[in-house]
Amino acid sequence: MSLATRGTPWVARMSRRRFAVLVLVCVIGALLLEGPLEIGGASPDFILILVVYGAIRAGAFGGSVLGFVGGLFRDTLLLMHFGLHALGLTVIGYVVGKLRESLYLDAPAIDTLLLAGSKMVLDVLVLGVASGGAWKAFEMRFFWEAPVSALYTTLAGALLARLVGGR
Amino acid sequence: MALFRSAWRAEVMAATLAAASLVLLALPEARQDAIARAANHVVLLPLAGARDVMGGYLGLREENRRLRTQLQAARLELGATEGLRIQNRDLSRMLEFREDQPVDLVPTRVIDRDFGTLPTTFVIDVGREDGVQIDQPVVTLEGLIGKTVDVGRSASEVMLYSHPEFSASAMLVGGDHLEYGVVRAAPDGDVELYLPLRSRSEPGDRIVTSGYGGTFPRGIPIGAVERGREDQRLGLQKIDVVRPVVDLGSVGVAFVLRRLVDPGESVGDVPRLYWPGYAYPPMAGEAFGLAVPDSLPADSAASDLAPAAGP
Repeated sequence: MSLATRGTPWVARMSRRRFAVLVLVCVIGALLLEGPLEIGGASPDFILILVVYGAIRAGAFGGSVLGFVGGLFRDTLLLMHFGLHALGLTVIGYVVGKLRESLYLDAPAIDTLLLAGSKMVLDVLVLGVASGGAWKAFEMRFFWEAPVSALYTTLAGALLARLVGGR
Repeated sequence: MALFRSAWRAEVMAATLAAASLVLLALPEARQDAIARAANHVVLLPLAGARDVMGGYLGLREENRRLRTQLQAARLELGATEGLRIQNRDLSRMLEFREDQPVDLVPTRVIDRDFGTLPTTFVIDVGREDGVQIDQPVVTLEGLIGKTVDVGRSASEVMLYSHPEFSASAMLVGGDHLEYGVVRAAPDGDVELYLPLRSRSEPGDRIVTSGYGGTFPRGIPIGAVERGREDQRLGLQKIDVVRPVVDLGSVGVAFVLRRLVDPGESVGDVPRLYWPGYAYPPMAGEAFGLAVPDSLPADSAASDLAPAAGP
C-alpha cells in the first residue's frame, strides 16, 4: 500500500469556507477564550490547534509558513521573547506537515497524538526559555501546566474538529 | 525560484523561517519589545477593537465593570469592618470595665480635639442630658485624662492633664510610704508632681489621685515618677517629672465619673476603680491594704507586687 492510499486527511477534505471558519474560531479563541478557560495555569492553545490542523491540510511548506505567522501572532499577544513561538510553531508546522506527507493516517487518534505531542514540545521550548535557567520553576510548570495544557488543547482540538470540521 | 520549485522547498522555507525567528529572538530585549509593541498596535489593533465589541456583546465588559464595582465596594467594606472591629474591641473592654465598677460611669467618645504637639483639650459626646456636670473626672481604662470644664446639652469640653491650667491633688505611693502633692503640667509639656521639700520619691513610684480637693476620687492612676527635677521654687518644693499612664494621642473612648457626693464635698476614696479589693492603692510589698483578697483580679496591679510581707 502506497502512502498516497492512506487517505486524504479529513481537514484537507474540508471546504475552504469550513476551514476559514476553523481559522476564525481559533483566532477568536486565542484572543478571547484562553484567559476565561484557564484552569490552574493551563489553557487550550488555539494557535497550536490552528497550526497543527493547517499543517495537516497544507503539508510541510504551508505548515511552516502557518506556524511562523501563528507564532508571530502569539508573540505579539504575549510581548515577551519575541520570536520564540514563531520558532517553535514553525518547526512544529514543518514536522506535522512532513508527517502528514509521509506517514499520516486519517484517524482521530493520530490527530489527538499530534496535538498533545506538539503542545508538549512547544511547552518544553517556551517554558525552558522563559524560566531563564531557573530549572526549579521550569520543573514545577512543566510537570503540572504542560500535561494539563496538552490534554486541554487536545480536547479543544477534538471538539473543534467535531463541531467545525464535521469530523 | 528554482529552489522553491524543488523537492526541498518545504525544508528551505522552514529553515528560513526558523532562522528569521532566531534572529528575532536574538535581538536586544528593547528592540524585541519595540517590534512586538509595533506589531501589537498595527496588526492587533483592529482585532482588539473587535475583541472589545465582542466582549461587550458577550456581556464580559458589563461583568467586568460590575465586578470592579463590587471589588471597590468590598474593599471599602473591609476597611470599615476593620475600623468597627477595633472600635468593638475598645467598647467591649470599656463595657466590661464599666460593669465591674461600683460607681456611676458615663461612657463617651472623643469627637474633637486640638491638634497641637500634645492635645490639651478634648470634646466628648456627652453633656447635661447624660448627667454630666462641670469638674467631673474623665478617665480611660488606664487612668486619668482630665476633667470636664464646659458642659453643653449633648457635648462637653475636657481639660486634659497636659493643659497648663490643669492641676490634681495627687498621692505618691512609694515602697513603704505615701506622699501627698499636686500634679500639674509644666510649660515645656512635661507633667510634674509637686511634693513637700522633704518628701521621698523614687523613679517608678506610682502616682494616683489623692481624693482631696473635691474633684477626683482617690486612687485613679495618673502615672509614675520618671525622674526628679532640680528645685525651681527657691528650695521650697520637690518636683518630679511624671510619666503618664494614658497616652493622650490614642484616646478615642473614655468615661465620665458622675459625682456621687455634693459639689464641694470631698469625694474621698469612694470609687476604688483601679484597685479592686484594696482600701487604697497598694504599695510595693504591701498586703495590709488588701480588704477583700479573694476578689483580686488576675491582671490587677497587685499581681506584680512582691509576695505578702506583713506590716
